[in-house]
Amino acid sequence: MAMCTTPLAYYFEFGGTRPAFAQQSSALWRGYVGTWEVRDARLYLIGLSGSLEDGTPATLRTLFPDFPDRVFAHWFSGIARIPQGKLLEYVHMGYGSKYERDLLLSFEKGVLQETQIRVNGVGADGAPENYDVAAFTTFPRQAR
Amino acid sequence: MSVTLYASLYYAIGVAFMLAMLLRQPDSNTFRLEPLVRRDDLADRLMEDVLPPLLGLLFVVLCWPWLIANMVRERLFPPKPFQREEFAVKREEIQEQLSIERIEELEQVFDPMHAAPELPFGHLNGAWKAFLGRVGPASELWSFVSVRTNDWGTIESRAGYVAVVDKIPGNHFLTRSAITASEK
Repeated sequence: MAMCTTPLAYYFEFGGTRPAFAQQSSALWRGYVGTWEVRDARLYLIGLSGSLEDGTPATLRTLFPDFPDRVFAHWFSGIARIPQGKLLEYVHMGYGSKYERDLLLSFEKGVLQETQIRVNGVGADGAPENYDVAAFTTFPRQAR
Repeated sequence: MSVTLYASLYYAIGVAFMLAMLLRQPDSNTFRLEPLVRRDDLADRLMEDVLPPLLGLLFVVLCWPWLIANMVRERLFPPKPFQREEFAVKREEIQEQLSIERIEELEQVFDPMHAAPELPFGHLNGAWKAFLGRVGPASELWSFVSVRTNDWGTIESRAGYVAVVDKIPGNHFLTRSAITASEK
């Protein structure tokens, strides 16, 4: 499932060291994709993919050398939005697109407090399902 | 010269300028638009793939004097890069004075799966130590909560700890940040 929230961005905002991620496309300005897991009501970062500007791959070990497999996201307090169902309205910017439902997970210091489902409407027949970007521009390494 | 000759000359310069612009931007050839939602309808595809570049080229041929004037203006007076205003804690946003020991007690991290350092602020302990290194001996540490409406009409909430000297807040350490709601 795609999550329309970036908890790792808060880690950087709060003072965590951010490596120089390579921007590979306009669909991913931040330069990385995190894989998250909620386990025993706690939010964990369990994977990271991307590459650095020098061409080396960025992994969880790059950011958290002592925690290469699993990182507890204790810095994250807020709501994680996970869109579900068919696309209702496409917005080609950020996480603006609207889907039939939003699964809202509310965290306090990385611990799950509340789960809600927000119903936004019913999608048309044939509307695309699952979060995606309609178009993006790739930036070849030599062009940067 | 007749009007037709002037017009022909104008369009010829426009076409030459358009070709010069295309040749000057080799990077544009290496950028690739990759639609993930591809419509099968021919009219939609023409609208997406053919019409925009055609209109762009037509615009260049017709409006080349304006484009050249803009290029000259930008060369002479380069636009200043956008700089986001740095967040600073205001005096009315500070809440409670706390000792370092009390803050570290409040912010102690423990994870049963041992996926974080068992230290104050866990993975951000290094950032916390660096913050303390910037706090002068005359500073008091206070908690703060800031809720402000930004230029876009959304509400930015922040909280954390701030070093205060003579009731004036200085360096801060963020512990939460969110854009909470749109102001109607």
